[in-house]
Amino acid sequence: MSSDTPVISTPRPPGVIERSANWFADLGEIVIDWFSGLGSLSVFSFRTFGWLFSRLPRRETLLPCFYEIGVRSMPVVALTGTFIGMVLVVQTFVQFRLMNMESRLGVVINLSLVRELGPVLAATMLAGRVGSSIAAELGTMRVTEQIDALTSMGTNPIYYLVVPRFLACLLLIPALTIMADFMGVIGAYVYAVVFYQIDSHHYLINSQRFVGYFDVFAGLFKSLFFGAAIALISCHRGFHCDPGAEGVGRAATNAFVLSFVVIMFLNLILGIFLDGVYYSFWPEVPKITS
Amino acid sequence: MVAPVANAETPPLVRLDGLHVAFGRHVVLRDLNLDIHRGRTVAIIGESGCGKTVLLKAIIGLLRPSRGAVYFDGNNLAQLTEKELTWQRIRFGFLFQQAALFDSMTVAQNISFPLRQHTVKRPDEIRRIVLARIAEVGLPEDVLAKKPAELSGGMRKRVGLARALALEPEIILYDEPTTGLDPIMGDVINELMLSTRRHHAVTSVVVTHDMRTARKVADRVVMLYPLSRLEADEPQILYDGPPEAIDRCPDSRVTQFVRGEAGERLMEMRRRGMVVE
Repeated sequence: MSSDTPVISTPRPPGVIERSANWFADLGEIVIDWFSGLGSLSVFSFRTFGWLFSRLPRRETLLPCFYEIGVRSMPVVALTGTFIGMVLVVQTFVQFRLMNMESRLGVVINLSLVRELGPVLAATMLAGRVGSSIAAELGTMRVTEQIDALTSMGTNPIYYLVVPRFLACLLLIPALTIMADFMGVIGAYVYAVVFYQIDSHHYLINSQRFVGYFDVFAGLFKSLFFGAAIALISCHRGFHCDPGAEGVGRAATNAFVLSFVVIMFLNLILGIFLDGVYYSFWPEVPKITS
Repeated sequence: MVAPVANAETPPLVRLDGLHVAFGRHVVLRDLNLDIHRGRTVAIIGESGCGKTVLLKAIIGLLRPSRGAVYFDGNNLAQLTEKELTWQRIRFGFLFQQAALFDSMTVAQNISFPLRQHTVKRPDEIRRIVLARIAEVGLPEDVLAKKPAELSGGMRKRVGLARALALEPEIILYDEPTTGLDPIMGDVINELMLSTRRHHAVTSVVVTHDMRTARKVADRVVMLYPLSRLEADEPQILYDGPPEAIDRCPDSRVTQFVRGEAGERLMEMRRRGMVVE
């Protein structure tokens, strides 16, 4: 090597201890961020409940939210509910026929619809259609200082923006769930009777025997928690949106993803709880094969 | 109506007492002391990022000070309850940089919003006030039915000013009122600020980096400087005095800003390799 050739020193790669320390530091940062986000969401929820019990929103702010969240979600929930009912028939028919139990198909399908799929489907559609839109709308209002403008005019943004959306999601998700249940049941019945020639009388009688009021109640009860979670998460994401178009887009995506994860988690927890309640009152379980 | 003249004996409407605002470790405002008297117009000038808007938001209580206090009419805003703070806030009018009009509402609904929220006036009374305000800012009645997205930048600012005036505030905060407007429209906004002061006897705080606005509307100019370029013991306010004396300020940083000369800043940027020769 000649003397005028520059010697380029490459930086020493980090050792095992340094890499481990960095990994733990990154992990710690994620955990701290997660807890900080959870704390922020909790404070936000308490403030929303505080307004809910102290002063209800005016009719002119409430009704547009009811229309947007409830009425405009009905068609998409009805349509998806119908298809879910139909596809359940398609997926389960063969197995039931092998056991010569086609007439019991309605039991499994209707029970899954009213207890699980109806509320989860309605909640998922609400999170996708309404949750992301709430996060994007409030995020844009944050970025363009409209939320600051509200505050500067002496109007509390949680009272004015969050409470009406929360009430609309909470009160109208049971209606959407009933719509999903109803259309799912109708879709499944029509498909089973028309395309698989299952006896209509036995399909309905068996469904009636096994699907009770408690099952319908369980689905509606769960939907209230889903609606509340969707509204709070979406509004919180919008309120804490990062600046710029990218921030608004991320808030909308995060609102849906987080709402969906929470819906699934709540569904499990509430499912276990409601089963416990059911079996404590009615320990005798009717057999599907009887 | 003529604006009341402040004197040394009257207590200030706004008092900043050692105001310190930080976002995490990033300090934006450090130990600011400032009194703003009733009926006066104070222009806060300074280059981008020096904390002018943060100062305005601290004055109305949108941002809480990390240290120090903001007093409005003798009340420490940080110590007020939410309800008390709301009652203080409706004494303010705020014209935001991009006007911050509510997209989902028409111009009429935007202007009447504070009236509908905080008064029990009848719809016809509200309509009368909205018409008076829109005429005051020089806009035709047909804009009332339009949405903010259908308006130009200058029209939005004027609607924002009409909304800020709806509740007859005692103080109006203007955040860069002429930014993004052509010189003619900028001057229209300056004239509107002057006529607002004449007709409503309001105190005004105008945040701007437009020296024409500062000279035209203000009777006092305060210049802030970014903390990142100050020594630890230097005050953040480089100039506090009448607009006509700012050209004679001995501090070269003030005169360079007023004349719009890059000077030392450009040399510093060249030293750091931020500007290509």
